[in-house]
Amino acid sequence: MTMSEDTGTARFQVELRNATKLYGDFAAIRDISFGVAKGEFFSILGPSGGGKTTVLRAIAGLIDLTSGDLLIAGAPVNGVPVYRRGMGIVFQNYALFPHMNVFDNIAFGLRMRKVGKPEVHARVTEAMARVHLDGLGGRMPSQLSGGQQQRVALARAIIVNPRVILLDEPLGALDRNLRIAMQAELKSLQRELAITTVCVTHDQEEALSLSDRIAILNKGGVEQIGTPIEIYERPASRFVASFVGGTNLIEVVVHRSDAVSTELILPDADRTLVRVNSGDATVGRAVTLSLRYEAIRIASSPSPSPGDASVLGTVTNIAYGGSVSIFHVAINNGLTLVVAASGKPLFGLGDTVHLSWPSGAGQILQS
Amino acid sequence: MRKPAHPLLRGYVWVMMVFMALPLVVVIGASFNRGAAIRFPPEGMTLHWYAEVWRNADMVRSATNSLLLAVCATLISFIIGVPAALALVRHVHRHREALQAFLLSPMTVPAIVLGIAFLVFFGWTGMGLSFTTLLIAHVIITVPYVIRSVAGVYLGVAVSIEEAAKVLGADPWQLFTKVTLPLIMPGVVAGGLFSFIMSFDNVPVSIFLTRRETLTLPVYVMSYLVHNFDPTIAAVSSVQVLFTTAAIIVIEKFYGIRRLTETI
Repeated sequence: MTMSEDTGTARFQVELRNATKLYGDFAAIRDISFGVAKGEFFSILGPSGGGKTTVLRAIAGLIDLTSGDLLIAGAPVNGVPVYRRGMGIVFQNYALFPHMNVFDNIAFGLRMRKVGKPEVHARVTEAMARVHLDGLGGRMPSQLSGGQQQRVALARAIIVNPRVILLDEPLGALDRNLRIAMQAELKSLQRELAITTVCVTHDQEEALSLSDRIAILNKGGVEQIGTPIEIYERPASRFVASFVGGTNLIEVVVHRSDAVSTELILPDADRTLVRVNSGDATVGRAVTLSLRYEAIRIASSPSPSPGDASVLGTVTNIAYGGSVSIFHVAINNGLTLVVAASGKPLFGLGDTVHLSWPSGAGQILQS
Repeated sequence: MRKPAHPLLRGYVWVMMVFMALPLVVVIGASFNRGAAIRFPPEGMTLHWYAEVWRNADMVRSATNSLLLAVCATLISFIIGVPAALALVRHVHRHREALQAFLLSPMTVPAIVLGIAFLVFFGWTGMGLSFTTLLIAHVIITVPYVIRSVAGVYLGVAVSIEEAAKVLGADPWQLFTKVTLPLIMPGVVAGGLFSFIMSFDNVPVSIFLTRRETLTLPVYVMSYLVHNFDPTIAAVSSVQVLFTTAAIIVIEKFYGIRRLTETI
């Protein structure tokens, strides 16, 4: 099958170059470029309306790009019809064929490719075993649980040995516990089969835990592309910092800067708020500081380490979340910092607390 | 387990069923009447009027005409109506409402107006009155029924089901035969049934467009009634009832009436 085999040794299995899709005057995506390596799990994360579904549909061939190129295994596929792109897809609502049983659903792609009956039987049986659906071949989709339907959709997509598998919010319809179990299963399946995967999601935890790399999309443009750790630890923009994980965004002024580190202060204060591990900033310049909720230590006494920055504040709100509790703490200058602390909340409303964070805890953001 | 219905509701359902079935009972009963008049309850029992139907060559021919006309009209309505419904639901974005209203308009125009319009049109264009022109007129009446019921079912089919099929390798023809058509089948069957009945039953359009050799059964029955009032009419009506019932039983057996009502 030429459909599902790759001859060349292209650098990327999927590549978008300056992809733009216009609907009238509205740009659903604008000038997007990225490449997904063979076997990579690549997630597209962003708020709804950010353009991530448009990217997925363009790769699938369900919509045409207004301009730009899409390459699969190094070859341009602009104008190649959907059904010749050799892909697999899993939709959030599974989109199983309601008039076919589990076996026929999974066999669909092979039958469309006119694969012989014995081979269809063997491959479907194998795929069903792989996703733990043994013995359910005769069931209709309506007789399956959400998790089982999800597995059928997955088996139906992988059975054709797709060049790329596209996941559209694949676990979005499952409840939390099942979702976490399926995440692990999905990831190990993907790694085992080494399938190039493009996954669209608005669930940051899912993206962080599944992906080799993530593209953050906002308003039709790429904000940042990087590994989960890069995205989380070194967000490239205000948007990324606040979209992925919880962070305090604080307007600060550069107080002192040398080759390796920079000290930042609040505009109307003279005390160093934080020292970050990036240098060569212009003294006196206003910048935005990102300080993760969990980077801040909350305690009844000042920090024991002398290098830490430390402020005094009053607890104004507590949200108990089981493993983690979120405190809102008003410090001077009318600023409220949000702090995440694990374990049972040890402080009550109105308590005076010491907040501290180590040198290098924050991150200067480009606005 | 479903809990049993309230006795009042049960009673209401029974009354309605009797109310709807009673005219049929009267017609079928009257067809066995020994006397030469349509009368209920029948006096005595005879199959004479059924034999009379069979002996009446005009009546048999008009029944054959009607059957052929209804079958042809329904088949052509499938060919026109199914693609139109699919396009209307998924592919037409501009002026969709206007197009839909236009395609369904024969349902809203009084049938007698349509009949006169066809008569004038076929005369004016020189097409004349033949089986073909009668068929054209019937197709225009029956197509909206196919469009409406197919579109109704297709609207309920998630777009992503067809998209998944395409991504998984179904070309347009495979997509239609393996996915779309099976999914819209309830609408096709229901639309076909309506279409057949609308054509087979039609008087107000056929009455303007039939000639002696293209006479349809309902038109023949009307003209027969002008001069006769014997149970032959009741007998031929009973045969029709029998046919319809048989058709519904066949559909139920091979398809399931439930599936027609569930999705529409």
